[in-house]
Amino acid sequence: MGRPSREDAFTAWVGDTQHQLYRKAYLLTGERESARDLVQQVLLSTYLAWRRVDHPTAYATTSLVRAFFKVAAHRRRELLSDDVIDVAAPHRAPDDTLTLLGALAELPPRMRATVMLRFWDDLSVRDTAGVLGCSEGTVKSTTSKALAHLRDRLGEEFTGLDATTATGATR
Amino acid sequence: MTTDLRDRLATELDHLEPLDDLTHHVLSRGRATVRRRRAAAGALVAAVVVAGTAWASAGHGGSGTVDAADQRQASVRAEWSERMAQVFADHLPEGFAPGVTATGGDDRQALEFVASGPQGEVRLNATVYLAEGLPVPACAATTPRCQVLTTPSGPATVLTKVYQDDRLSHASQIWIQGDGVQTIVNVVESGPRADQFSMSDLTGLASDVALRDAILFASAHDGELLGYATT
Repeated sequence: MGRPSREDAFTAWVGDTQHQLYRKAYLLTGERESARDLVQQVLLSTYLAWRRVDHPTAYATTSLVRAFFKVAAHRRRELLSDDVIDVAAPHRAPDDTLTLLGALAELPPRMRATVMLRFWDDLSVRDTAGVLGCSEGTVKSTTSKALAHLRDRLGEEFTGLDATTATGATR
Repeated sequence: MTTDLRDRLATELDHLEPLDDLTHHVLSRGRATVRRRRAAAGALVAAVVVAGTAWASAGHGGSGTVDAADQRQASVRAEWSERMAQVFADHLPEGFAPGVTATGGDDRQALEFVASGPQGEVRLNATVYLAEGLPVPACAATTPRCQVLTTPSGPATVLTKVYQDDRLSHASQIWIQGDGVQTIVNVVESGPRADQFSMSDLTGLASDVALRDAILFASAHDGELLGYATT
């Protein structure tokens, strides 16, 4: 049997990856439609780059984060600030308590991306810095600020959460 | 007992409805984009041959694939930089020092150009979005001075004072939709309250055939320009 064509290989990869990419996109955007648009955009750019990409999932994740930053930067200039912004959280449980997703959605884009990469994707500080295009120190301080915000917003509930990555690096 | 942050996120994400399968749609758009790029690349090569210009990368045998790829990338990036420097330099308002200076372009910073005007520096850059997925702003819902026009590159929207907050620098954007890609040109003032590019300057820039050629060039060399001029 010969090697699978680009389209066969890409189709198989999408089948395995699309749902995970959508979840990552949702963690970043906090909105279904925006997440869907981002995933579509990233799948297309991955298809176009398929032949020169060794690790398509890593490529797609990096593209996802960068595309998210671009869109966010065009919507507002919040990327210039690492301050927590005060916006209404769309994610609330039926009893109107703030969910973790809701608290996450209150964070500025760079903090959201940092939390997603560190705690959802289990990337190391170094790899996270690579994706975000910043220093490891910036990743650490951004993570710290993000967790402080989540702790502040979720209160006692957050104390029951263990902010530990799969690689064992407790923040 | 503690709950892992990831477990808690996973639990909350379980309520997210599954996404419809995007494979067919993406393949369809991908094939169309590949076809357009091949056509654009063919047209560019033909144009270069007619002009008698040799590709900077042509003739590089290279001792290895990596060297050849690096040389090709450097060559493509240099050509993009040269093209855009010329485009921007040709549309500087009166009173500006001639020419622009390239900056950035390394350490994951996108390439941009700096022009020097009587009211301070202006930063200019252009990014070609390959996936054509950004929502184009509508004039009616955006800035006080906005214009939609048809350019050689495709339909364009010119926006001024993109950031309404007066504490932020005055920024203008040109959104161009064409040939399967989107291009956004940013013109950002450095000086406080400076506003040196008129609508006429911006529409002139948007309408330049050299800008269209630069966009075609970027589309045809998206790999070499990724993170530098394309995304």
